[in-house]
Amino acid sequence: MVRLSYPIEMEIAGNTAMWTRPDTGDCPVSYPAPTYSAVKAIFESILWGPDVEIIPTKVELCEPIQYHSYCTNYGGPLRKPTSIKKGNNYQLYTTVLIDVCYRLYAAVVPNKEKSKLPESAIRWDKNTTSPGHAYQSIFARRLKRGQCYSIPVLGWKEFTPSYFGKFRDTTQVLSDLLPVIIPSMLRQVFSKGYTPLGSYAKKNFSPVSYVYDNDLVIQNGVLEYPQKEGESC
Amino acid sequence: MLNELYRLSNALESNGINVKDWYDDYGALPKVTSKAPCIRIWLAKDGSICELESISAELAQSLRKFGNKQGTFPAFNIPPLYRITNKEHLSELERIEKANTALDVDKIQSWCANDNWHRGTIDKVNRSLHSVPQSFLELIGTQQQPECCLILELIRLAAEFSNDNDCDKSFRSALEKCIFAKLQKQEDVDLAFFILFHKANPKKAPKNDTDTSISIILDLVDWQQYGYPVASKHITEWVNSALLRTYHNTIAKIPPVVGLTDAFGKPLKIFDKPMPSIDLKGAGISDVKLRSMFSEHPCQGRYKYFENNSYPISPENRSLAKKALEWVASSDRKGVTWQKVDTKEIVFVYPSQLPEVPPKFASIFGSNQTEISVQTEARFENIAEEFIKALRGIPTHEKPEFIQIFTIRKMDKARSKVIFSRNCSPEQMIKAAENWAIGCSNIPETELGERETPFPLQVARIVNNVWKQNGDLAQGKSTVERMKCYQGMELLLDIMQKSMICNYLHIVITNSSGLVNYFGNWVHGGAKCKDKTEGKNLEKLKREIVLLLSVLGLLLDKNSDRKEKYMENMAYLVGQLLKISDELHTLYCKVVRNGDVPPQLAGSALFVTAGETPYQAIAQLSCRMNPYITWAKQYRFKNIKDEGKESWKAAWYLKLFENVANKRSLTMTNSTRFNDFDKAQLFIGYLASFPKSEPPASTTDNNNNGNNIGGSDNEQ
Repeated sequence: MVRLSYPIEMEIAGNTAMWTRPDTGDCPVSYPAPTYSAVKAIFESILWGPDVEIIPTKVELCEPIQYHSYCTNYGGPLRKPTSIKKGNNYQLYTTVLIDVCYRLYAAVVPNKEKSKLPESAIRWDKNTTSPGHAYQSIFARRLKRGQCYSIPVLGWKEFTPSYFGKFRDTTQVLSDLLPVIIPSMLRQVFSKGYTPLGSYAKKNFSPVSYVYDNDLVIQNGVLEYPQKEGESC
Repeated sequence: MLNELYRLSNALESNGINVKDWYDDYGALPKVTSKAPCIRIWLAKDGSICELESISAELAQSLRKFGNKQGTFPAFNIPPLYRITNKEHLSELERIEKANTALDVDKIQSWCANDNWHRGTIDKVNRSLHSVPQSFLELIGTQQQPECCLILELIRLAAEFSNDNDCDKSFRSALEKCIFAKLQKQEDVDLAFFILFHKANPKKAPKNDTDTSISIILDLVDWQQYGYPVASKHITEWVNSALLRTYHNTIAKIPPVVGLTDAFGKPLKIFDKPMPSIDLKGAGISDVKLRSMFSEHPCQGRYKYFENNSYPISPENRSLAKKALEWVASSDRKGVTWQKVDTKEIVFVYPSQLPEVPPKFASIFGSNQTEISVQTEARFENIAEEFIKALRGIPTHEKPEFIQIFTIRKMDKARSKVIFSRNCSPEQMIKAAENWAIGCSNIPETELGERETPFPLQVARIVNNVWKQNGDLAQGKSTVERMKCYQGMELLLDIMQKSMICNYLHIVITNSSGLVNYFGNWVHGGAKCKDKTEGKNLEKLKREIVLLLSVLGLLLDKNSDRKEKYMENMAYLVGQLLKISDELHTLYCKVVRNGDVPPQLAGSALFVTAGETPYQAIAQLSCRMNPYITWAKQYRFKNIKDEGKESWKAAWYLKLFENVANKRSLTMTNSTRFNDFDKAQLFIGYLASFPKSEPPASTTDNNNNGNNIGGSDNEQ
């Protein structure tokens, strides 16, 4: 069966962004561009539906890459027991990006795993001739109106965008940016996908399954995500 | 930092550079100095310690020890045996050490009352003598080779030392016995005292006074039958190869996880061992862990995964990363591939292809330490010129495609953070260095001496320094780092947004206003230093001002404000007016008040006001300067040639005053305010030299024409 794909795009900008590099461990550093899963989640925060799959295709960088030191003074319950006892906070040192602006691109395809869809989605799917097309139209309408399912964030919850919406005329892609090589970039953490039935019961949560892309290059300010087997755009 | 190191390991591989591989837990010995020697302890067959000797720094450098922080073998650290705090004893001890006088061993024995070994130390020494050697033996295995027999014999002798510290057969007792035997014979007294006594601080509790530790290495006195002593390069290398053989065999036995690859695309093998740590000895930064994610802090974990489980990396890639970091940070590559930025920060620079004679990539960033550019040869201009020449001279086939730059900072004992990571082309680097020099020279001539270009890593210090109105630094023990050192590199590589440049300019203007005002007043007033100390301080301040002006010029240049243009701007001219006022005021004081120059001059007093409300400042200045201008109009015709009181100067100042006042750009209104770029120009204008012009040959001949200079139309 041919899965027709429908392109969607949006722009997002903000003061701070964090696309965590897992190789940096407990002092997280940001990748220079958003990860595949981050882009996917940004699109999904505007409109999410279980019967379509969003496949990020590329991201365009519209502001220079600027790193900045950022420290979170954490005083929550996930501290070392002795720190909690002594009332000491935990400083999480990070290197984030500042003044970011991206143009995000993705393709919407119908979800091939229809057996796992919840009943309501199956019903909706049966009544819809082209879920991808429907998603595309609804997405464009919502983006125009500034609607979102949840507030899109630039990596971390506290890094909310200063703008998200359609492409702005004033934004320029950094086409003169020198190539940036990323030997290993996290693609997805939950690559096994959505597990809907009883997903709130812990045992049925999607398992952590890291997938990495290798030797990616941000060329002329554009990072193209490699397409994996089974994905069609 | 694994991503950066992976690229480096690829670059090393493509250049055919083979890096020596060391087993993870086989670390180097501490650096040997005259104050911190490494002592070889010779063990006899009967288990006694028969001799002690200090080994050379060169030998110590080639030796390694197996283990971790819990214990090591055959070398480990011990604290001195006894603690002495009694002042009389301490002074007598020093006398004996210095004078090398005859010893009263009984007396010395009586001083050995306070044990300096605590429970933790005893346990650590016991582990180093018993459990660590056993683990070591398991890894190297038993073989027939003489090297292995030597190690086995040493392990056997170490194991014979009793765990009970007070027992006669303990390591401590054996050591003490050997020391007193040496003292009896008056041999190696200094060494014996070094091990025996900790000259302690009486104010500190014994538990907290554990700074002193002595590096020791165990060896066999009868080593001849095995060919080499334990503390030798040969045995160290043999042990390393034996450890590596076991390690590789273990890795080979681990089956790869089917269908899974590691983060770099290699078959994934689960190897349950934390990532290795590396001592960056050249930079003085120890224990840099390639990656850590400690389970004791649950907030660090990703989805409840910690350490290795949170990041899939194969053992091969982990050792490649380790080797790459060891290579790039080796002492002999200082200035080429690395440069120390701060006490806990280091910058690494490496090209994708290594030429035969690599240019000094890292030296172009300099250091944030003030001492570096005191030497002429270490000036940015010279280093940049040499670097550009070397980079351009690389044959095309050897030219690197890119240059990777990254900075790591040791945050605390366990964590190291990548704070900057960037790659650029060699052409971009050359252009950046040239633009940097051009930017820093974006200031007019001053009377402060030669213009100096700061290194990129120095800029943060210049920006962060907060100056008081009296020329003293206003910061406490540690500076508030509003600009980080690595951001100087961003400034060099021209990857900073304009908002950041505005931000740094704002910081430097706010922080250095006091220094500019103080120094301007000092120089314009022609004050002389009272003594050598004041002279030295003034020279230091002069250098700070020179560097500050270069930074201001650079930031203006980044904003496309070139000196040819901004020297005609209102802010610069206001600065010049203040300077002329200062100079004229000084001349007046020298002539009329017999050299009694007030502590604050007319222009200097209005410097701060001029930065905020220039209109009000100029209005006040006109009132303030009226008597001096009137005086100067008379004085200029007196033809006085006494040094410091020259009448032509009065004419010159009046002319300058008139020229500046007549400029159309000086037009301002009550609402005129200066932004940070204007303030920078004001600062530069206040310190810059006057425009060059010939002094009038004879003022008396020009009476008729000269009467109009500084005439009523132009008076402020």
